[in-house]
Amino acid sequence: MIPQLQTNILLFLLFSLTVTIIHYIIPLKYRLLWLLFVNVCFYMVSSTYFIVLLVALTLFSWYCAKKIIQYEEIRQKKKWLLVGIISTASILCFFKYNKTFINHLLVSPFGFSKQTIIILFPLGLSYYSFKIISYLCDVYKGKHGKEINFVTYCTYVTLYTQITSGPISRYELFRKSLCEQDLKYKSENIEKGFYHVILGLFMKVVIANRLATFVSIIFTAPDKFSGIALWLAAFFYSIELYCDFGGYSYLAIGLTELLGLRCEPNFLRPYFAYNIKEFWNRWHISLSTWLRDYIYIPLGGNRCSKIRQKINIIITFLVSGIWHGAGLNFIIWGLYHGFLNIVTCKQTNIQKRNPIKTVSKILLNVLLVDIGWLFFGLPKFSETLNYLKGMVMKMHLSISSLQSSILPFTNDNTCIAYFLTVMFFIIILFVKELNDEIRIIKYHRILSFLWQAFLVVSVLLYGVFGLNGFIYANF
Amino acid sequence: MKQVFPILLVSIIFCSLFVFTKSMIQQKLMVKANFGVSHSASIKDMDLLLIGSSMFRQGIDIGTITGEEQNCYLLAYNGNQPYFEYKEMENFYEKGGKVKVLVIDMYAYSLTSMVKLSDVRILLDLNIKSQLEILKNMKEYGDADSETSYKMIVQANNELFLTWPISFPLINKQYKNGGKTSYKAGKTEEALSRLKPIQASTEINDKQLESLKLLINLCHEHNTKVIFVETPKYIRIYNINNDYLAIMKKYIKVLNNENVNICIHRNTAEKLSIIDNEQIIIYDFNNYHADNYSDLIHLSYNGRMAFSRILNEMLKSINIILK
Repeated sequence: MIPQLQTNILLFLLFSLTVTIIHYIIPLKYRLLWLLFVNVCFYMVSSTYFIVLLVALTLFSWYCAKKIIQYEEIRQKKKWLLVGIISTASILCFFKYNKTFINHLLVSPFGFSKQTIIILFPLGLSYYSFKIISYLCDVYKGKHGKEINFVTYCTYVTLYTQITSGPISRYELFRKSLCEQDLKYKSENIEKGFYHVILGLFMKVVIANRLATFVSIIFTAPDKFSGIALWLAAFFYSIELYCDFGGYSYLAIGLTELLGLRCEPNFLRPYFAYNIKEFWNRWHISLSTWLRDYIYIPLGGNRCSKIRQKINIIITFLVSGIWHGAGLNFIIWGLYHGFLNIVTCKQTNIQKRNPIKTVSKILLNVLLVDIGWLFFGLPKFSETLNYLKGMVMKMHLSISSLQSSILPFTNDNTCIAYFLTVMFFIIILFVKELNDEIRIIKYHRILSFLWQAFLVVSVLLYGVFGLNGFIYANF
Repeated sequence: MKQVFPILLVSIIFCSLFVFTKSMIQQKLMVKANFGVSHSASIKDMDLLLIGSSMFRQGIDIGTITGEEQNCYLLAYNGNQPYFEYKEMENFYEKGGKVKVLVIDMYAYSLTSMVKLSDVRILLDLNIKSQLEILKNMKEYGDADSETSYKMIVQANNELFLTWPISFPLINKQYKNGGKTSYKAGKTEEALSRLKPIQASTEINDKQLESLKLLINLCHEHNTKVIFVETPKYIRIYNINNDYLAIMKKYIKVLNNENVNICIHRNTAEKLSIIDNEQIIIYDFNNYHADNYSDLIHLSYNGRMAFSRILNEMLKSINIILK
C-alpha cells in the first residue's frame, strides 16, 4: 500500500492536485469516467483488500435500485429496498461490531482462545454504506425518476474526496451539479474550492494537530493532572474535534468543488448554537439530515403523539451513537444528546433578540456539548465518570497549577509559547466565525485576499504535518 | 483563478522573507535572555561554562557550584550532542566569548547518536548559514529528511517568535545564568524499576567523535581548560543497559589521548576497573537512592543539589580557581 495516502495530508493534497489538473486536461465527455477510475485507484492504494467489498456493494446496490425501478408493485419495490438496506447495514454492522460480538458471543460463552480476533475495518464503509442506503430510499420514493446512470452512481458512491470521512452527500445534489456544472472548468469553482481547502488545512494542521498531543496526554492519564488541566483538555478536545472533522469537511468540500462538483456544507459554526436542537442543525449536517430523513421521519417523526415523538428522537440519537462506535460510551453519548433534545424547548424569537440571554444560552450549550464529548473521547464509561469527578474535585486555582496544566504541550518551558500560539489561532477562528454569524464586517475583496493569504502563511509557518489521520476516519 | 495565484505568490514571498529575517532578529533578542549562547558570550571574563544536555540542566545547580560570587554559566539543551556542543562553542567564541574552564556533559549515548537536533532552541542563537550547515550534517550523519529540513529552517521557534512579548519574559524568568530554577520531584524505587532501558545505538558515530576532538582543540586554542563530567545515573542502568559501560569505556579511551580531565562515578570506575589518576577523578554519589532521580538518567531536585556540591568539590580538587 502506498504509505497512508488517506492519512498523510500532504500526499493526499498532492494526489488531488494531480487528479484535478488531469481532470481539466482530458476532454469533457471522459471526465466522469476519469473520476471513477481515480476513485477506484485511490481506494485500491489506500485499502487494497477491501476494494472488492466496495465494488461488490456498489454493484449489488445498483442492481437493487434497478429492481426497485423495474417493478411497479409496491410489495416488490419494498422487497428490493429491504434487501438492499439490510445487506448494506449487515455488512456495516459486521465490520463495525465484530470485535464486540466475537469477544462477547464466541470467546466468553464458548471458551474459545482469549486472543482477540481482529478484523480490519474497511476504509469509509460507514460513509459509503449510508450513501447507498440514502440512494436506495430515494429511488424507492421516486426521487430519481426511471433512469439511473451506472457510471454516475458508481462515481457518486466511490467519490475519493468524500469516501474517507464524508460528507455523506446525497445523490440528488451530485446529479444536479453534474447537470448544471457538467464538470466544466469555472473560475469561481476554483476560487471557492481553493478557499475551502486552505481553510480546512488551517483548521486541521494549525489548530487540531497542535491540540491532539496535549489532549491525548491528559486523556490517557487524567489522574496525574490537576482540575484545571482536565478542564483545559475537555475544552481543547471540543475544539480539536471541530477543527479536525470540520477541517477535513472543508478540505473534502473544497476538493470536490475543484473538480467542478457541488457539495453542501457539513458544519455551520456549531459552537454558536443556542441549544442542542440548533447544534444538530449545525454539526455534521450530512449525518444529522441523513438520520432525520432515513430514521426519524420513517419512524413517524413529529407526525405522531408527543410521547412517540420523544421515543423517535431517542432512537435516532441512539442510532447516531452506535454509528460512531460499538462501545458503551458511544451509546451513552447518543442517549445523552437524545435526552437533551427532548428536554430542550423550541427557541422563540423573543429570546433570540436578547443578546445577554443568547450568549448565556450559547455558553451553556457549549458546556453541555463539551461534557458529551468526554464520553466520545474517553475509551470507557468508568474513565469518563472519573474524569468528570476530577474536573470538580481537583479544582485548585493557583499560578503553579495553571503553569503545570499547559506543560503537556511540550514538556518544557516553551509550553507557554505553544499554548499562546494555539490560543491565538483559536481566537482568530472564533472571530472569523463570529463575523460569519452576525456579519459585522461585510465582504471586501482586499479583506478576503488578506484573510486567505493569512491562512496560507499560517499553514506554512505553523502547520503541524506528518502521519496524522483524521479522527472521523475511524468511524 | 484570478485570486488564487496572487494569494499563493504573496504568501510564499512573505514566508521566505520571514525565514531569512527570523534568525537575525532572534539573535538580537537573545542577547537579553538569561539563557543561550548569545547571552553567555556577552558575559565578560567567565570563569566556568558548563555545556550539556538535559542531564546537566536537571543535574546541576549553578548557584551551588561556586557560591554567590561565581561567574559561570550553563548551556543545556535537550538531547545535546558533541556535534552541537562544538557548534555552540564555535558560536560562543565567534561572538567574542571568553571562558577559563569548560565542563562538558559526558553522556555515553550522545557519542553513539546520529546527528539529530532535539532542541530547536539551539537555533535561536544561530544565523541561517550555520543552520544550513547543521542541516547538511544532519542529512549526512543522521536521518534528516525533507520534513526535518522544513521544520528546522521554516518552522523552528515560530511559536516563541509569534508570542515573544508575552512568552519570552515568562520563560526567561525561569533561568538564571542559563540554569533552570524549577523543582522536579524524585521518583520511588518501584516507579524507577518499571522504566524501560534506553534505546540507543552502540556504535560510535564518526561525526560525533570528530566533533568531540574539534571541540577540545577549539577550547585549547582559546586557552580554555576542558573537563568531562559523567552525571550519576541510577544504579539500575548498569544492569538493564548492557552497552552503557562498553560505550563509556570507548569514550574514556578517546579522551585518554587528549589533554582533558575526566570525572566519573565510582560505579562506572569499578565496573571498568579504572582507578584515580592525574586525568581521572572518581566521585561518590548515592545512586541507589531513588529520591535522587526523576528517571534512570536525570536527577531530581534533591539529586541536583547533592551532585552540585560534589561537583563543586571536584572542581576545587582539580585546582580550578574561581572568583
